[in-house]
Amino acid sequence: MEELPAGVEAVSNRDGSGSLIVNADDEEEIKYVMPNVSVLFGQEPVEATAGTVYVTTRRVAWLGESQGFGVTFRSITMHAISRDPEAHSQPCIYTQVESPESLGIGDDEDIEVTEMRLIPGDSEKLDELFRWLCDCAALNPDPDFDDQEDGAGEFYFDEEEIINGVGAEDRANMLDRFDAMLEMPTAGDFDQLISEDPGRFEDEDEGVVDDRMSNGA
Amino acid sequence: MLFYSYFKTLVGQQVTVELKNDLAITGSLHSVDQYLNIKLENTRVVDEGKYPHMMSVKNCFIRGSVVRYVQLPAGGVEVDILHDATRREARGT
Repeated sequence: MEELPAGVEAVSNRDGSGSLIVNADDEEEIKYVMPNVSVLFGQEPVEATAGTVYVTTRRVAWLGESQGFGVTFRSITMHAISRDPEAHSQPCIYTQVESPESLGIGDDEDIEVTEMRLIPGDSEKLDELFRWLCDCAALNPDPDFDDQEDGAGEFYFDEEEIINGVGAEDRANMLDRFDAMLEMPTAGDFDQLISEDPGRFEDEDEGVVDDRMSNGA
Repeated sequence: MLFYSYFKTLVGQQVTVELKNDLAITGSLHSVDQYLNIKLENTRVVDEGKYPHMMSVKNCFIRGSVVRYVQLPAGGVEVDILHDATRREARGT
């Protein structure tokens, strides 16, 4: 395969034993390894021979004889078990992959979806592979997911919570921010304002008001 | 976490999940997690013309962040309970 589809990244380095090198900086760990798995993008096999699938805490990777690639869970919009012989001659895992840049745009006819199939040599293990994919996908929510479970970052508290000190730190931070927004003028500022406009703090000329009232009457 | 709690009450019911890439999958709701990742069983693709291979799929896992809408069975919505839960969520209790 000359060019990898959108959302699929080439993996060219392997460790001494030929296995996947994880990105420890991203807390990546290998959770499940399945040898003897073929891969198709659309209808096109990546390599004629089978390779090894690695399910890590961050991505699904496949290393074949000469090629290798990885797809992060954030790029996998869905994965499924497919057993219908009419769709593919062997039971397989069917996935849809989008490049992370296109995710979440929505309503865009141009979103490029890649269909990727993982075909285990041992189809008895299909459910096991599916479960590992589910478990590891769940470890990768979008970075902007709004997790409101513990109330962090929320500014709605009821009386009881405030008495019990819930969110005290958040509220203190919020008050500091409000304080910073309030710029109280200094005595020097008043002098300057008055020198620019001596009548600034005088009462409105009552004569004008009287005129208006008599005109209106 | 209102939607998470709410979707949990729909487990076992028929729902249609519409993805942001316009794929719509109908199936029985197997499970949902706190990120609104959804697992469906006995699935069926609404628009089979677009993804013919999806027809063969029986169990699937859908990433929560790609879901646009979830169509619910009319009988699966307990309006009073949902109202109450919404009010409680708004009060933060």
